Amino acid sequence: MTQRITTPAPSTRLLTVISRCLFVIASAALLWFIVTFLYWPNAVALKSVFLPDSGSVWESIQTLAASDRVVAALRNTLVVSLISVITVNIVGTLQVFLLEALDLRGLRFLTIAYALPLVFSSVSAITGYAMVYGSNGILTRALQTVFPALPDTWFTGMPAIILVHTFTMTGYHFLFMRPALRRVDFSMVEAARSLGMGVVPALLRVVMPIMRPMVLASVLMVFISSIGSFAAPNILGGTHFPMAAPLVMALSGLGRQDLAALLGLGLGLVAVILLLWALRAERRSQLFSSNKSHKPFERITLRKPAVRVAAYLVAYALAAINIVPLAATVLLSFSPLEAIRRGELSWTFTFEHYLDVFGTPSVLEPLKNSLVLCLIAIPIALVIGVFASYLIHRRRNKLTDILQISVFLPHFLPGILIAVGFMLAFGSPSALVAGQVLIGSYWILPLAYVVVLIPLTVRLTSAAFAGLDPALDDAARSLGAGPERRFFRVTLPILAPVLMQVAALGFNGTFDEYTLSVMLYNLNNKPLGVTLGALAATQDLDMVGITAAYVVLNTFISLAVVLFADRMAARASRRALGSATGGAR
Amino acid sequence: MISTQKLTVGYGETTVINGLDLHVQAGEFLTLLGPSGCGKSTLLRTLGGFIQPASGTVSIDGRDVTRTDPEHRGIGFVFQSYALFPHLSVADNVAFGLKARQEERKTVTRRVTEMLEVSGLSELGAAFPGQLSGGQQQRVAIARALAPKPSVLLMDEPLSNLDAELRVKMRSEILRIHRELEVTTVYVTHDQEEALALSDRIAVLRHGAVQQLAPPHEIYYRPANAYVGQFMGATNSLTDNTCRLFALAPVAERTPFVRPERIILGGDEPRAHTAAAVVEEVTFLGPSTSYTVGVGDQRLSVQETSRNGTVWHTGSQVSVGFDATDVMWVES
Repeated sequence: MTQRITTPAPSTRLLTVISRCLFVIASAALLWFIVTFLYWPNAVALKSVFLPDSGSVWESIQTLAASDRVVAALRNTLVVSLISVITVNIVGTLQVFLLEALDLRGLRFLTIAYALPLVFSSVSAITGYAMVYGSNGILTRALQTVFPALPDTWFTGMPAIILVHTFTMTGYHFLFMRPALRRVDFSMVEAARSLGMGVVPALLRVVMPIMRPMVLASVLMVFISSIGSFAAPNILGGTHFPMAAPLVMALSGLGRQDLAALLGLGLGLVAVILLLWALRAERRSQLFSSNKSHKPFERITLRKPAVRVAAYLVAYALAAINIVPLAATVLLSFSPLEAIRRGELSWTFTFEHYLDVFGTPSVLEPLKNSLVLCLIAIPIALVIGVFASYLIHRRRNKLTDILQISVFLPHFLPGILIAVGFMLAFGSPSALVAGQVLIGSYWILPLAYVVVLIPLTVRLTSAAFAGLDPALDDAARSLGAGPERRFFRVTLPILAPVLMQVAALGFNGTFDEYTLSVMLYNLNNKPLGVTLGALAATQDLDMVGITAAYVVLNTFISLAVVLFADRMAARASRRALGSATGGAR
Repeated sequence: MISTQKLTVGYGETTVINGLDLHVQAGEFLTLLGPSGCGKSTLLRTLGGFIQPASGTVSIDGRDVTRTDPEHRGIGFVFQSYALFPHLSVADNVAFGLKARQEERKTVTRRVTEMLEVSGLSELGAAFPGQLSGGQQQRVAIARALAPKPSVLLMDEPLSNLDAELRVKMRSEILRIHRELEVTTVYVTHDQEEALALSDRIAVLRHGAVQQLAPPHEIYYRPANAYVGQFMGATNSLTDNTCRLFALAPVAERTPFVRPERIILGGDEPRAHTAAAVVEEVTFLGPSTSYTVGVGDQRLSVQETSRNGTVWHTGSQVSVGFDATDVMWVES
């Protein structure tokens, strides 16, 4: 055989120089983005609090503390958040165990029902809940026929907000706790049972401790979402139940951005304290399995009839609570206006509300705006996220450790604080953005969306990077492939399914985003979430149908994106059937 | 040809390979053999360019490649996990290295067809790695590494993921491909039998140093030291007292080793060195039976072909013996 030595050709050397230049440019762009949009707004917010133009931070604190409404809002926020953490985790964990650990009939239906918060969340879901339980809601009307004394506003305040939180914040459990449970070595459950433990105690005493890091993570996520909760208190809070995030917006609207920033920072501080506690607790609860082999998790058949019936009742009741608001919204979206006005359910269907949506520019425009905003923000977030993950995993050093902390910063800050930071940082010309004033411009919203999308993107792409067999890159190198070829021909195609799912998740989080949107939007970019929030808050019965159609369209688009991404991801990963690296057959 | 001079490799404070000189001849099949943690994979990855040495040089065909990236070394590397690209078909996997070198399309097609034929994978070009069996994946990994005609083929325990039967079959395949393409090969394994079956020469490693570098026959029958002897299966190192019982005259600074299969239990033919023994343990292994016998105060391992007739039982009084040529006098 003719042997040949491969020596780098001059063209290869040129390519290496070009690729190094591109790498430096990309790194500089990433650094600029992080400094400008992750650090600078927070720094300006801190400055406005601690070095205000007039007065002092102590005076600002006294002003806030003197307001009964502010004190009540902070107390309410804390109580709602603590209760939400408990209720969301009970419901979310129950759903995960019902889906993955027990052998129940109708799992496909239950899976769809429990997955609904992924596509029917935020302001859409709150609007849906209002359509069932609100002053004009189907259930409210039905109950009033039996209990005429029931006030229209019975579904407001703390119980309403907690109920909505409980059933719309379980997406994290569905997405992340389910795979974590599937990864638990089932032989541990079998070992517990062989030692005389029953099924349910084995799940509680063996599996749950292993899942503790996931539970802690979800506690953190729910708490941060709850203290920054905006849409639920705004739409369902009523006049007598203030919460912190809407108050921040109100203060900002009154021109007291220093007080808004102080309140936002207070919320951020609580989130950081909880984060530190969660990290400490997670470190303590980190368990490492020493098992040589791993047995996939199996569904357990409940033998005792009473336990079995109870499991079915809980499973289907949870599914019903998730489905009813969406079903009612769909029904209302097809109901004639006369039936809605009379407060009756109609079995005559009409498309008039959908035609109204498409025929009313003030309603249709925000839908189009949100689509365009997503199409801008998601690809930018993906590029930044993938590049950051690449640096974090492939070039570990102190700088990339700082990068890792930086990109997760928005994850732990309430959306309201990010919005206030943006308003303060970009409300006047800034050298970091070439002297432009971004507030009032089209770009403020897509940039804010990118900021909140980055942690999700980095988190999931990092997990994918970590799961990549490093030998794949080594193999490509040994075959003569340079860095670009290795990234674009090996790493990226393998990451593609994850990126598609990240894009879909990002779309769901951004398409009807409310908190940042309502604080930062302007006439050029009014998004769907803001319009939906306004529609949901209206008491006009004539608008119920159009609102319902709007919610259904939003949910349908989100669902279509998720299903499309899922199909594309499945197609991309089908080629890698099973594990292609190692393993005898 | 591949060689190292005074090669030192470490991780942080720990030195794994210290001042190693190694020369692999063109077309040779050299195996790096040793237990886990002896530095054999580190050495192979250093030859491949995936690990930078602290000092010393690596040369391939006379060219110093110590600071050359793996992609410019002209090597082929077969990984323990195969590292096949799951999103590419078998043919695309094999073509990957050729395309990376920007070969003409015609050349790529011809070479891929050639390599698929050599590896017995002609029918599987369109399949994806996940659809293949372990043995087929292994062949694709070798075909992919060899397609760009590398100067050296480096293989890191490529058979360790296969079951015993397939391992033996793939051993022959690797040997056939090596003989057909005559590519210089450095192969890493911890399996003595695999090393003996495949290699032109074997380098037995311990703590990153070569204990013996020799052809398989020599390694097996003339181990350079007690470590090599024991690693290659000579488990009976006779004590002075046992030597006296066998009437074996001691040799200064040498330890006598006798392989278990060279010791005869009972037996009709008289042996040069015999002693009385008691059978303490019998383990039936199918084709062979393993015995532990007590000779004086030492326990010796004996391995015999299993027979249906005479079988020794625990407690049997028996004479054990071996010939003078069965004793390996190894440096202490």
